[in-house]
Amino acid sequence: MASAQLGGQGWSMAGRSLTALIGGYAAAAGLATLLARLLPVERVEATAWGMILSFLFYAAFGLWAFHEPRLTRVAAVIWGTAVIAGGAALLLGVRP
Amino acid sequence: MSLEVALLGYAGFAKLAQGKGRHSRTARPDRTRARILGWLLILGSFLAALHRFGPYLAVPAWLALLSVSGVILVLILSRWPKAATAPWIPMTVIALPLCLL
Amino acid sequence: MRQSMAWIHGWLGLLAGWILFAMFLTGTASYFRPEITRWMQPEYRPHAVPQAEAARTAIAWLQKNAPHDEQWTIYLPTDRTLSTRAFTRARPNPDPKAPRAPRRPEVRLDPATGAPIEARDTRGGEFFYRFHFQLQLPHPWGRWLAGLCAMFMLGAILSGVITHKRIFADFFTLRWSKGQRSWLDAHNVSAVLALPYHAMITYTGLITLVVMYMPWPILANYPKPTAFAESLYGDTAGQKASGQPGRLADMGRFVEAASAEWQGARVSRIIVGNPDDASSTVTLLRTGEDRLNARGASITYAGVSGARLAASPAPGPAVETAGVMLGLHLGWFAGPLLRWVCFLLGLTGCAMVATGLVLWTVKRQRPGAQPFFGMSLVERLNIGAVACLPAGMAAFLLANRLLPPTLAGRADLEVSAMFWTWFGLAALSLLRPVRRAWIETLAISALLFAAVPIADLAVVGGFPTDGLFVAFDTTMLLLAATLGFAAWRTAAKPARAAQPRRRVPVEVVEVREVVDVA
Repeated sequence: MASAQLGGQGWSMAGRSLTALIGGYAAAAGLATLLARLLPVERVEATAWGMILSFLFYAAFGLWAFHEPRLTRVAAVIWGTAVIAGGAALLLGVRP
Repeated sequence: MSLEVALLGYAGFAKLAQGKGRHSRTARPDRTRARILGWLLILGSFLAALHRFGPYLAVPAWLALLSVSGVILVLILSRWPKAATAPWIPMTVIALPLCLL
Repeated sequence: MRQSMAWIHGWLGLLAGWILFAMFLTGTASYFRPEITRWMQPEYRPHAVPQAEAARTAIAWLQKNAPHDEQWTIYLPTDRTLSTRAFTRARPNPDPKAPRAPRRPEVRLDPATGAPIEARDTRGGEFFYRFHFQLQLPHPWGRWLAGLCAMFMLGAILSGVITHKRIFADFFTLRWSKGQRSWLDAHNVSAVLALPYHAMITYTGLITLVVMYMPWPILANYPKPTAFAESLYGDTAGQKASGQPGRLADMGRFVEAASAEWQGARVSRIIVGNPDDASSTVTLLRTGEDRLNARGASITYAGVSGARLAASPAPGPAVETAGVMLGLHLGWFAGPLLRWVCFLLGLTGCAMVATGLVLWTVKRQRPGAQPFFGMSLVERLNIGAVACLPAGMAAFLLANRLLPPTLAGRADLEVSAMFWTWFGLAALSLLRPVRRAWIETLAISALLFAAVPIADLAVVGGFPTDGLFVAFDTTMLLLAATLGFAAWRTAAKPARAAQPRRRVPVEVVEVREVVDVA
């Protein structure tokens, strides 16, 4: 999308940026945590995989947030991922 | 020293640049030949890195040396297009005995 | 896809660019952290001793000067540092409301005697290294800001690769004196040719502080977060003191035993937990200098009895990957030639960020138009970051030679010299028109770098015979030449707006870059 399209609407731009920056982090953290919790390998290995891959998730969410034109969809997917993945990780609790 | 990796990388990039045809007025089959030779030299620089650094360190060391030789080539190429690619033969010649050291 | 990526590439690069430039430049300098420290203490004449002896002398000094601390970390001398470095951490104040004790600076000890090095007080290369990821801001804000900028960088790299459709076609193209096109060429060449390096250094940089940035996977797998660190590198922070006094056994024996277990590999670091307690622990870490994985194996002994308690398990694929990423970022594995290569690649990264920043302004300038506020702001910040930071770094090194060696508080004064010069020069440059400001600040930076070897010769006296000092001073002259060249090019360039478009071959004229469209 061109800058004119994006730059025109201040509030939607702010919402998009916040979704990318904070929502993207939350979604990446949620996914990484869920991955670390569920990977059927050793505890320390699963933790390390989650941590290593987390930044890739974050970058992907962040870039996609500015690629997808529909803000509602961006917000739904990113915040949804954050809530679902984070919630699942919370419900699962610490690995026994 | 591991200079031979950079020398071969420079020579390879030099041939590839010639193969692009932007900096030389060579005919099409010559350009293809230059490109093939360029890739072979780049492959050679990788083998030299493998030989010098062992399988574990070879890839990062090769990429680093290759990148720097590319940057140097482009800087020279931007000023002296002819002189930049010319020394590929002496570089290859110097690199070969260095590989064995 | 490409348009949105070009747009986000521009903004990510712009918003983080100034800090990224500072991180790149100081990080590049940090490849030579021990060498810079040695240059900054020219009085120090090291005496090489076996590692075991260095460990003994360091422990003796710590037992005298910080006996009741919670933890000591001792970096044994290497071929590059030539001195023992010790960090101590005091026991936390039992009163939870008490302010956190400030982090204590490193102590550099003479490995032969164990006494603090008798040389001018300085932060040395450690300063650039710390600034590189803490940005001289209070903990933990500097690290968070650095991480955010690194994340922006990662996004900029990914979006840049997607944007740049003819990544190999433009591989060798660098054209001078063509205005915007030249800046675009320079940005592409510095980015694409060293792309593996840029991507590597950015991602691995995030990994170095991953425990802080992304602690959540640990919380999902460990009831006690410190257990993760313990399982990785034998951090003893979680261990409780017994309260009974105890005396450490001979440290040299630990070093010899660990080294023997590692087939003669050296010990890089010793971590002593609760050193004055009966339950003290001694963890030795293997050097990472001979392999990519910087997180070496570790062995933990009981400090008093000397019994071998535990050793780090052989790392699995993920832990090995993380260790290799750390190693790639730190570059300890690199011998002299590879280290210089890394240094040059780091400078290429600086060039990439700087040309990107300039490109942002050049692209938006309209001939004859009055620059709008955002444009002036970006132009001024570009000058402040790209042209003035080098002056600050040179001032840091100059202050090291010019301040009297025995002056009290001189280490902090050196740091002040850097920031006053950096920000002072940036503030002064506001008084000049943009182009003049570029030329003059670049020229001043060049002069300051050229002054460093002169000050070195004048103050230390005599021509240096030590290879390190020769190399350092020569590098300063080369940096001065580079900055001088930049100033000269800026001065020589005809005014952009007035330059008529030259006809160039069709091959070149087509719009090659979506950055142009954005």
